[in-house]
Amino acid sequence: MRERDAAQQRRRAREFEAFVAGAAGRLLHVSTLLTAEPADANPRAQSLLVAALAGAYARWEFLRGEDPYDRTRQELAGRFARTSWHHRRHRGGPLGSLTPQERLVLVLRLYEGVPEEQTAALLGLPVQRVRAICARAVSHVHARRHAPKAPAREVVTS
Amino acid sequence: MSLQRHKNDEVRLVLEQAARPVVPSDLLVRATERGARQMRRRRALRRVWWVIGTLVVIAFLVWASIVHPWQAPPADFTPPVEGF
Repeated sequence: MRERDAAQQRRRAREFEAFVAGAAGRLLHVSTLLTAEPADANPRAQSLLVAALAGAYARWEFLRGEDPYDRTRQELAGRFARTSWHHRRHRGGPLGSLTPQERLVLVLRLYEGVPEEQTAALLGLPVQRVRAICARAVSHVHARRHAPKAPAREVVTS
Repeated sequence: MSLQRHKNDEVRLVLEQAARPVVPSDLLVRATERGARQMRRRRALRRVWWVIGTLVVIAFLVWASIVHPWQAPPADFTPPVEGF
């Protein structure tokens, strides 16, 4: 029994290590875009990712064929949404002038390519609302890109 | 619609070209330790619930075997005797 437990533990550790080696780079980029920190100083993004990965590790046996990347991203997004108040400040990064919710929708929809319906379900919002937030965030980033000297918008958290 | 798509593509490019953070070397260790701790805590909690459930069942069985709640209680007084 104990021996089987140990073997299972080793297999889990091996699989988890392979998963982290493959996915950590992209997930950390996602996390850093969300927390709007500069790429070389991102402690908040790192702890967000560590928490999400730890959840994936704890639930590794219960994934049952589900994609661990999807699960981890879901957990990351959920955690970010719950703690978005702590991420309202502009710390750098290309999405710093957006609200946390706009960042989350933009990253999930455009960078990660999550379908509108899934994004809406993940955030507990109607699909139309997700579409509207995404369009607003896109035009904001677009406008800033074409007028880089424009003053930063006051970030309103809702 | 196509203008929106053009804007979307441009923003997607902005996101993809953003500076990529370097993954710290201790990330795996931190995540594994935290995950293992979470697992242990969850397992301990589950064990506590099982113990509580077992105790409740045992207590109920003991109580039932002493009190016999399925038997009708004895009458408090005998019925009046008439025509004796």
